[in-house]
Amino acid sequence: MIHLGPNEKVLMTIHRHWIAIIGKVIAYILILFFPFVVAPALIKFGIPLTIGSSLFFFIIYLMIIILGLFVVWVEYYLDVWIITTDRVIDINQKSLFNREISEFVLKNIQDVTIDVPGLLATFLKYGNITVQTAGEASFTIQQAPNVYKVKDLILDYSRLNQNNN
Amino acid sequence: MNFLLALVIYIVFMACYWAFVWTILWHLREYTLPNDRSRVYIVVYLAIAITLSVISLLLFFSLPLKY
Repeated sequence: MIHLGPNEKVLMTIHRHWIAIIGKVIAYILILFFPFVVAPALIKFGIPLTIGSSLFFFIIYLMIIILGLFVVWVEYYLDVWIITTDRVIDINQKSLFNREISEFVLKNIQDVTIDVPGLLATFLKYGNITVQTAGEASFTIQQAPNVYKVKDLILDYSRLNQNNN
Repeated sequence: MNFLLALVIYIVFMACYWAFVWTILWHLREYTLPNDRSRVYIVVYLAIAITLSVISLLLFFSLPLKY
């Protein structure tokens, strides 16, 4: 759970671009068609398959595939940057039950770098954002959407926080 | 296959499946951000998973098993 300060507001939440998970989703969809290849082969080898038993095993298989897709979405959804008026919270979801949460205050930001790697990234408007803070490690979000908007937002609020102090 | 053995395997599978789903949902409830569309995706997934579980249960009793 994220606890905000008394005057703190969430400005933006950034999940990775959908391109980050499209490979896994396509892989699961392709695996979904695997029984349609295996079933005719089993019949060819003389293994008796009734409609009821085939359907039963396909439903079980479908449940596992859909659970896999749900896990892919959960990992994608929980990997997030939350930009508030005071800080940026970087939640790095490494695997389903493995996450790392770090945060940095906006007034300590020294440099924001965006990297749009290649043609696809340019067309789909995603890229990597690296934020360098004073005396701390740099923070990077890979394959973030709206990189220019995010950079402007971070820099605007960073200047605002620095001017207020 | 023997009906009782198949039933035990089926129940163990379902128990493991739903325990895993419950763990994910608990994890999501802890870390879900307020006011976003995540609830829609969770409800859609649960609806599909429950429907498939019910269909599989009905189909289980149509399997050619020895009693």
